[in-house]
Parts: sequence; C-alpha cells; structure tokens
Amino acid sequence: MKKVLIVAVLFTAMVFGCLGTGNAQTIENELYLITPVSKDVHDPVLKAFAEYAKKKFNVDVKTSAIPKGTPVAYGQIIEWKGNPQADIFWGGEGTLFDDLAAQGLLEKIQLPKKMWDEIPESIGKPVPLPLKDPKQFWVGTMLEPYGIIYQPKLVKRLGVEIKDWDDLLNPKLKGQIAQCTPDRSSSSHATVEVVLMTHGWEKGWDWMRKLAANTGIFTARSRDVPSVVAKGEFAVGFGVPSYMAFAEVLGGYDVMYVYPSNAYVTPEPMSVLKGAPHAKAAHAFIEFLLSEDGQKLISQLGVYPVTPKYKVQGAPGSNQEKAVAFTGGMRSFFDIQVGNVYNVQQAGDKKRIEDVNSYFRKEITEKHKDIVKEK
Amino acid sequence: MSFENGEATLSGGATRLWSRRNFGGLAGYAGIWLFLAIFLIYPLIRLFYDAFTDDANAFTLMNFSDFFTDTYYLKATINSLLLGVATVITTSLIGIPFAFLLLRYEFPGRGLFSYLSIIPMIMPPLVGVMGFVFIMGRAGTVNVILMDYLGFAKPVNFMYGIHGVLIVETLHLFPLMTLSIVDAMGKISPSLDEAAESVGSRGLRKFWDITFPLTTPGYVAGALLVFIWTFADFATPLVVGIDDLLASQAYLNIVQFVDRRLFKMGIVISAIMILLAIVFLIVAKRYVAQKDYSSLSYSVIERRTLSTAGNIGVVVFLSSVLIAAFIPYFGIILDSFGKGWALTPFPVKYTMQYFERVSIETPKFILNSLLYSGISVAICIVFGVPIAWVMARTKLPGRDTLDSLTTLILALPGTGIGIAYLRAFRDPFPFTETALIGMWLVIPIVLGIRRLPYTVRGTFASLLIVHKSFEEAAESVGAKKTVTFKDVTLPLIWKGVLVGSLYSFILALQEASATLLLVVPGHEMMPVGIFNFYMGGSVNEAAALGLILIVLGAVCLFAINKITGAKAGGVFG
Amino acid sequence: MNIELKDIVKSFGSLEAVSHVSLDIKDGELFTLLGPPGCGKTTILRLIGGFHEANSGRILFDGKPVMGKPPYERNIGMVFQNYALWPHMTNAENVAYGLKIKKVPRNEIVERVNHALGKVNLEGLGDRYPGQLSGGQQQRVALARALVLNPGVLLLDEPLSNLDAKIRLQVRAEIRKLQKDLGITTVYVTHDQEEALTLSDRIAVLNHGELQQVGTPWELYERPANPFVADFIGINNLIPGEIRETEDNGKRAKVATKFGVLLGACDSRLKIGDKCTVCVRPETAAIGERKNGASENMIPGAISFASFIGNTMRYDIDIGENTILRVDIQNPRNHSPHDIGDKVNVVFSTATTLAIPS
Repeated sequence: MKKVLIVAVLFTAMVFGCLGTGNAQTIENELYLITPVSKDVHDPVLKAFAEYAKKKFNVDVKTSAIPKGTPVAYGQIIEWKGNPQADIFWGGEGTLFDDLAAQGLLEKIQLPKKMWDEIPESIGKPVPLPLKDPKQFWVGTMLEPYGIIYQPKLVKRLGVEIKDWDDLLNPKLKGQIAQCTPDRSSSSHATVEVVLMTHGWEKGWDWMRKLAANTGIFTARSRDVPSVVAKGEFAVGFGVPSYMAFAEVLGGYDVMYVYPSNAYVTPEPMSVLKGAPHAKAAHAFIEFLLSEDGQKLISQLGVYPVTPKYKVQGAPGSNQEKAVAFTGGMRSFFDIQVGNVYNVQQAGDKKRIEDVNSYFRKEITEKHKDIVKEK
Repeated sequence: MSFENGEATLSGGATRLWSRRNFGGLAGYAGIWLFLAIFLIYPLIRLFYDAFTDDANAFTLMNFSDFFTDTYYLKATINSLLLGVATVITTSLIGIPFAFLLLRYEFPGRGLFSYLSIIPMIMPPLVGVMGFVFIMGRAGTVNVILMDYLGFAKPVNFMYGIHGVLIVETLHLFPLMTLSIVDAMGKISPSLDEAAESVGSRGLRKFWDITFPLTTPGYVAGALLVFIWTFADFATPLVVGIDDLLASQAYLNIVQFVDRRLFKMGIVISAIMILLAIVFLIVAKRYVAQKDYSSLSYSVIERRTLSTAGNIGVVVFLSSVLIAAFIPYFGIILDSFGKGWALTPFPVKYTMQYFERVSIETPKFILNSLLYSGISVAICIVFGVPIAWVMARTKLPGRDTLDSLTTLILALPGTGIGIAYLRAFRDPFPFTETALIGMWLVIPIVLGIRRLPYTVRGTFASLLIVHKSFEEAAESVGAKKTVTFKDVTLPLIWKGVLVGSLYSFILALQEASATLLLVVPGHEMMPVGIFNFYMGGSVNEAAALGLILIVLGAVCLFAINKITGAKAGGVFG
Repeated sequence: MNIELKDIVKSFGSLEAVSHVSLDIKDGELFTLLGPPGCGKTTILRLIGGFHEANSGRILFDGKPVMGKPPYERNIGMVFQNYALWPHMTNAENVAYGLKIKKVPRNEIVERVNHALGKVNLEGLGDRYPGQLSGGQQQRVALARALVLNPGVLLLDEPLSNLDAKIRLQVRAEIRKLQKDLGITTVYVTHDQEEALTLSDRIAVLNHGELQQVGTPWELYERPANPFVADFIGINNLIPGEIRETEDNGKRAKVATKFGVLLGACDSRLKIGDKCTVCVRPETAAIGERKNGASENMIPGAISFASFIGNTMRYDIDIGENTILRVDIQNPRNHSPHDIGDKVNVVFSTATTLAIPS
C-alpha cells in the first residue's frame, strides 16, 4: 500500500507539474501577489492583467493573491528569506518597503523611464508624502485616503453628524465604532499616526482612548471594518481606505464616506520580491498597472490614479462618476490641496512602529473593557 | 499488509518472524512509524524547540516567563479554559437529553430529528458565526424586527462578547456530544437499565444513578472533543470581536510577523495550548480507562412511548434547539442570495451573482477542496487501516503508542498543528530545493494527519466486531495473512472504513485552522476561500461558498446515513 | 404471590412472539418456562416483569391487573441472563441500590444487604466490584440484589446459561434451596429441559410462541400432550400410527403402525381412526425376546449403532422404513454387547407405551 501511495503522489505531482511547465515565453505563466489591497481591487486588476498578457505575450497567466494585512505580509516576506512564494508585494505604507529593500528582499522596478517620471516624487503639505522610491525599489500605484465610513441610516437614528475626526468622539456613538488594530492593519496604523502627529504623543493617545470608549469592536482585519458598517452592525468605521467603502457601494450597500482633514493618503506601493519565481510577469504587471488602461481600470474601483495626467472620468452613471460623487466631486488628488501631517521618516522608524503597536495593544485593546466602563 | 502477530510467532517458532514474507510487513510497519515521525512527532518537537529557544537558538525559559508574567495572556488562558468548560456544560445540557430522547423514546418525527440533529456539525468554521450575526447580530433580522416593529430603542447584544462565542460553539458542537452519548449508550447492555427499573429506580433517578455513569467513557470523550474544539477555534471569537482567548492570541500573534517578540509569543501560546490539550487528554484517558463498561452488545432497547403532553414537550424542546442551531443556515442562505442586505429583516433584493462569482470565477476552491480532501482520505486509509489492524490484531511493540498518538491528534488544536508545520517544514528537505511549506502537498498531508483518528477508530471498531476466528478460519484453510485480510477481513470491515473515511472527508472539507496558516497560493480550499472572501470584504461570496460547502457536507452525511442506517456515532467515541 | 396470564398476545412488528398464552402460576411455586430459543419464553417473563407490554390479554398479580404498570410498580425481583450488575457500583452497592431507592434507613440497608449476601454465600465480597468476581459469584450477587427487596415474585432469565457445567449444577441446587426456604413465587426461564425437570414444581413448554403443555415434570415426561413435548422433554422414540381400536373405556388402544400393531396407553383425546404418535422411552425398551406375551410389544430390527456411556449402553436399531429406535440398557454390567448388524428384537411393555395425538 505504501507503494501505491508513492505512485499516487508521483502521479499527481506529474499531473500538476505539467501545468507548471511550458514552452519558451516572454513572461512566466503564473503570477502571485501578497497584498493587503482587498479583493475588491486586486481581483479585477489581476483579471485584466491576464487578458492583457494574453493579448501582448500570448500567455495564459494563472494569477492568485495571498491576502494579508500589511504587517503580516511584511513579516511573511521576511520569513521567506529570499525564497518567496509570491512575486509582488503590493500595498500599505512605503516605509515598510524601504525596510525590506534595506534587507535586500526587493528587486529594482523595471519601468520605461517616461512612465516612471510621470509619477510625482511626493504629494501633500505641510509634510510631503513620497509616491515612489528614489532608489526604485518601489513605486506608488494609486492614491486613496484612509478616512471614515458610516451607515447613514444608523447615524441619523443616533442623531449625530460625521464631518471630521473629532465627530467620532461624540458620546452618542458609544459602542458604535468599528476599528482594526494598528498591528493588524496598515490603514489603522497610519491613521493612528495621523492622530498622534496631529495632537502629539500624549494628547494623541488620549484621543485614541476616547475613540476606544466609543468602539464596539476591534475587527480581525481592516477589511472587516467597512463590512460591519455596511451591514449595519456598527454605525461608523475608523481608518478605512476609500476604495473599500466604495466597494460596499458597488456591492449594493448604503454607506457614506468622509475624507477627513489630514487623513493619510496611501500611494499603495508595489515591489517585485527578490528571488520572485515569476519575476518577468511581475515587472509586466507593474507596467500594466501604471499604463493608461491600468489606471483607468482602478479609477472605476474608488481609487485615484497616481499619475496627474489621468483623471477619474467616465460616462454619466459609470462607476467612475459614482466614485467621484462618493468622494465629494474630486477627480484627482493632484487637483486639490492634500493636507498631510504624516511624517514618513518618523513613522517609518522600526522602533516607533513597535512602540505605537505595543502601546495600542497594552493601553487600548487590553484595557478596552475598562475604558468602556470608565467613560 | 502482513504483520506478524505475537501469538502466531510463539506457535510458529522463532524463525517465522524473520521469514521473507514478514519482511514486507515489518517494512510497512516501519513506514507507518516513519510517516508519523515526520509529519506528527517532528513538527511538535520543532514547535517546542522553538518555544524553548531564543532567536539565537539558545535554550531559554524567557518565552514562558514572558507568557506567565503577562496578565493579559493569563487572562486569555483563564478565559479559554472557562469558555471550554462552559461549552462542555451547555453542550451537555442539550446533547445529553437529545441522545437520551432519541435512543429511548418514541415520539412523532423521531427519525427526522435524529437526522437533523447531526446537521449542525457540518457547519464550516467562520460560516456558522457569520450566519448567526446575519440573524442575531446588532443589525440582524431579530434585532431589526425588535427595533423597527416592536419599539426596542437599542439592539439586544446577542453576539458581540464571550457569550456570543458560547452560543455559536454550543449550537455547533452539541451534536458531537449527542453522538458520543448515543454511541456509548448503544454499547451498554439495556438489561442494566432494566435491572434498575426492576428494583424501583426510574426516570431522572435512574438516569443519574445508572445510565449516565455507565456512559461516562463516551461522555468524557465527547466532552474532550467539545472542549478542544472550542479551545482551538479562533475564527468565531475574532468575528465577534473577542481577542482575549488563547487561540485568538496564537493566531493574531503568529500572523503578525513584524514584532518578533509577538511572533515568538504566538509559538509559545501554541505550545502551551498543545501542552494543555495533552494534559486534558491524559486526565480523560485515565478516567475513561478505569470505567470502560462497554459490552459491545448492540442490543436494542424497546423505545418508550410518551403521553400526549410528553410528546408535545419533547417535540417542542427538540424543535426549539434545532431551530436555534439552524439559525446560521437561514442566515447564510439569505445572505448568499440577498443583495445589499442591511438593516432590513430580510434582503430586499435577491441575486445569483455571488454564486456565479464563486462557482464560475473561482471553481478552483471547490476543485482543490475535493482533491485535497480526497488525497487526505487516501492518506487516512493507507495509514489508518493498518494502524487500526495493528492495534486490534497484533502485539507488535509500539502499538499502544500508536493508539496514544492517534488519540493525541484528536486533542491537538488545529492552530497548534498549523504553526508547528510552519516552523518544521519551512526549510527545504535534505537534498531538495523546495520546502514542504509552499507545496500544495502540505495541505493534504496536514489534513490526513488531522483526520487520521477517525479512520483508525472507524476501522478499529469494525475490527473488534469481526471476531478473530474468521481470520483464523481462513488461515486454517491455507490463506496467507495478506490474502486473509483482502478476502475475509476487508469485506467485513469496509463499511466501518468507509464511514470513518467519509467522516474524515467531511471534516477535511471543513478544516480551516491548520490549513489557514499553511495556505499555498493557487491551492486554497473552500474554507480558506471563505476566509479570504470574508476578510476581503466579500461577505456575500463567503456566504455563497459556505452554502456550497454545507451542501457538500450534507451530501456526505446523507451517504453515511445510507451506508450505516441509523448508527453513525461509532467513530466519535 | 399468584400470577395469572390470560390470553396474552405480544408481537414485535409482524412477528407474533407470544400467541394467546394463558398461565396460572401458584403462590410459592417454582414455575419454569421451557422451550427452544425463540419460543417466546423470555418475552413472557419480560411481560410479567413489565419490560414489555402485551398487545392484548390480561396479567393479574394476586387477582389484580398490572397491565400498563412499569416494572418498579410490580414488586418483582429479576435476575438477567447476563446478570446486569452495574459495573460502576460495588457488589454491596448493587444490592443496596433498590433499598436506597425505597428510602430504607441507612443502617437497615447495611443489615439487609449483609443478610442477602450471606444468603447467597458471598459474605465479605460486598466491597469488590462485579468485574472482580467469577461468573457464579456474579450470578449470586444478581440473586441477592433481586431478593433483598423481598419481591412478590422472582423472575430468572436463563440464570445458569453463562456458567460452566459444574458450577451450573451447584448454583442450580442453591437456587432451588433458596427458593424453597423463602417460599417465593418464582418464574424461571430456560431452554435446558434437564434443568427444568430437576428444578421446577411445574413447567410450561412453549414452541413458536404457543403454549404446548403445562404440568409437573413427571406429567410432562410421562404424559406428554403432543409429539413436540414428547420429543423435547427427555429422549423419546416416536412412531406414527392410527388408532385401530380402544379398550378400557378409551384408556388403552391398539395402534396400527408400519411396524405392526402396537398396544399401549391412550391419550383420552384420541378416538378410533385418529392419526396418532406412539411414544416409547429408550429406557423402557429392551433387546431380546418377548417374555410376557401380550403385555409387551415387539419390533424386529438390526443394530445400526452402539455407544457405551458408562451407566448406560445405548443402541440405535434400524427397524426399516428409515426409522431408528433407540434403546438404553441401564446398568449394563451384566449385559453382553451386540455387534453392529446383529438382528435383534426390540421389546417394550404395553404399560409404558403411550399413544398421543399427532
């Protein structure tokens, strides 16, 4: 029987092995992402890339994504020790990418120079946010703010109005706020940093404690925050990427979004991992995403092009127009004054990241029940 | 499959043991041990090694002292233990009366109830709690009705909190308890019960004094399973926002690689969970060993009929438990068809788009599930049947250890196994370039290991019923052991093997604790797909995929019922 | 306690396990239900005990109907075939349990349990668990457990079937003695006719759920009511025939058989011309010549088999027509054995020859 097993294993291995090999080709026929960018965006993009690859290289690319929160994905890449099972790391904060590059775990991006140059160095005032790595280890792919999502029906019933961050501290929202923790989600982490950098360390944490007093749930992942708000389980979600909120709208749910003052705007950086099993496909994917077709595609999904020349624009009733309406008429981040207090150097410090995360864990999550009781 | 048997060796002389014919058998036996050594023992050792070393691989107790000095972890430990005990109590309160009523009384719909009572078991992890939230959440059907139609100002909090976890676990796991008790009661001679009646004991008194004590081995086994299951579940607590449990902490810390200290704590927590599980297992085994009353007499007791009031009472009790247990099914069905369902009692718009997406765009989940569960069942059979045979029919050295190991697997939390595998197989095997982690093969292997006990137990139970003299008779007319096994033993036990395997299959289909940590891109199974959809915000798709998985499970269960008739509890004992 | 069963019917599904059985078990007697496996004897016992409910018919204890009453309201003591001792209780606890249920004071329980264990010769074994006792000892614990409640009737379901032959004889004698001492009405189920004959005051023979005959061991042996009883109780030679003529007011008859006309006692139900069966016990027959003329029947044949069993020499004699007669020569010390094939005559007294309805 042992023999039978070995034969069975060999047989299945052969069958599956065959799928993986093919003729000489311009790019590999597989592509794997590890990404915090949710399915709402990565799925359509991967699908479009598969079509693009078929047309351009005549290759049927099998694509898949390992959905992981940014910190988790970051840790996983380190754990792979240069033998990654994914080709591309996409999304989150640029600082983690710098860190990976320093560890020699990223490959330089290969892009046509024109395409690279069309992406501005940075965005935002008073503090500039970089949109690409001068050393070319990562590149921004799209822009979206981490803001506030709410359920209009519930918010109306509670008698509150949500316009900016401080509205979340209204005692009427007790138990109604959903947020993720900064060690599980980069959007939470960045948004906590925005709070800390706006108010300063001490006052910033006081603000977070007040938010915790109103918080009903710390979700397991950042993508749960818009889900539970869309469902009506909780009225307001904190630190939510705009496209996730927009995905709920596309899904037929009734939610509203606020882009609050100085909210972190992410360029959703992208890198090719060193030792990527399908490196050629990975570089082709980046090129595709930054092309006009790629940027147009994402502009239907509630995110904004990272290149100033592309605007979110479509036929009346199109998803593009819905997205514009959803974020209050904005067609490009380069059309407005982007306020930013988030300091990349400061926030990207490894010790600072751990400090913020462990302070949040010790003083907010672990004491959450007490905080709720006190207030 | 020829293993020499100690007795035969004595009668046949010492030379027989080393005859050529037995060489294959001994090699096979060694193969079983090799498999268990690589895929069960080594990962566990590796996990403990990691837990007792620092990043420089030097021995340290710091990790454990960190754990035991951190009040939050201690609180999580106590919470986990309390939750486990509470779930055992609640599942007992429901599961025992269920078993007792179904076995001993005749009432309208008894057959239907006994079939339906197993159904809650096939609820995949995560899907159950999702379904509950859809119906019982703050914006679920019940609360919407309470607020919009009955004037409640605030939603009733059924779900968010440890009580929500308790509700979900109870209604998911009580069938495990029922099956264990049914199985244990079936093994107790009914005359023990009648003897009690003949001396005047009856009703509850008889149940407490006689019937229940006699079923303790089955009860303890069931209680242990319920306890470990609850203890190891991290998906349910996370959905209802509970972090301060060991399983949740193990999961959250391990998937969080940024902070190495937390990562290490994830490993330590897993090691502690496994240690605790082993302790509980040993205690339970000790207890059960002293009190094995099973007589293997499967005689049937005449079912009592009930008065009209009794009938109504029983049907109302069973129906209300089952309705509660079926809440997640209603929730999942509504959400997998309902578009944009929020803050209304039922969806206002219905659509097939979620099913289209999961079945057309990602049929790989379904294919992977079937394929890997299939391979894992093959692994279960290839290793499990010989293990059961060795345990039942031979006196080979190490057979008691085999027994303990297969029982140990039942008690191991899936999260712990997953993390142990992550640590053990991340480096390439000697002389190869790829590590097992990252190959799809790791998925069926871990599933096979996890579900091995069901096949072993199913086969073992069948072998006990097949008297050894059948085999001896075949040998007496000249059949070799191999031939005897094929021509005599196998035809007599295939049902047990099949049922054990089908259970392994159902449970493999639904596994999402170990596999979730070992995900290989492109080779995700349905529960992982559900998790990915859910975590990716596509709750409706998660529900749709969940519903497909439930239907698959129900089909398997139906097949089991067809094969075994009513008696299906045997492999849970 | 006196127990009456009136026209009892009990079916399991389509199978009629007990078919219109009526019995009258007298106070203080040891009454045995005897029959082959599946004859319904255990079902009747369980009907009396209240473990089954009859489909129709009445059961009366001392004239009072008990139908519908559960076992614990019938004042019975039952010993199960597999003893059914509760393995999680000590022997003493097993015996004491019924008293505890009846809320007997603690010190009285101790006293009565000790007394009961003493009665069955198990003093000092009360603290052990049933699993630590031999089969015979377990049987006695079961007996003590049943008797300690002073039941109106003791029900014994094949209590000796799991014991080996020697112990069986011993326990059998003990049960009989205990029953006589206590004077308790006892219903005893067995498939072993020898056990039934030695133990019982009266026996009911059952087959296929139907009552065949009720009587003392003597009556059943000497006056079987039909060929089934004749064959089931002891060993019998059965020869089919037809009543030719009757004598002595129908008490004796001449029966025409394929082996000639046989003379013997006649069952009162038989009339001239009736088909009947002639019964001849092997120990009442002999080999040799007719000595007393007309008071003996004789059939010629040839020895086909001979076996020596110590106190008996047993011959099978082929008398033609595919019929074998068995003859037991008891105390064969002075007997000179016949060889196989020897032509011999089988002779048997007309007084021990019995014609019964077929």
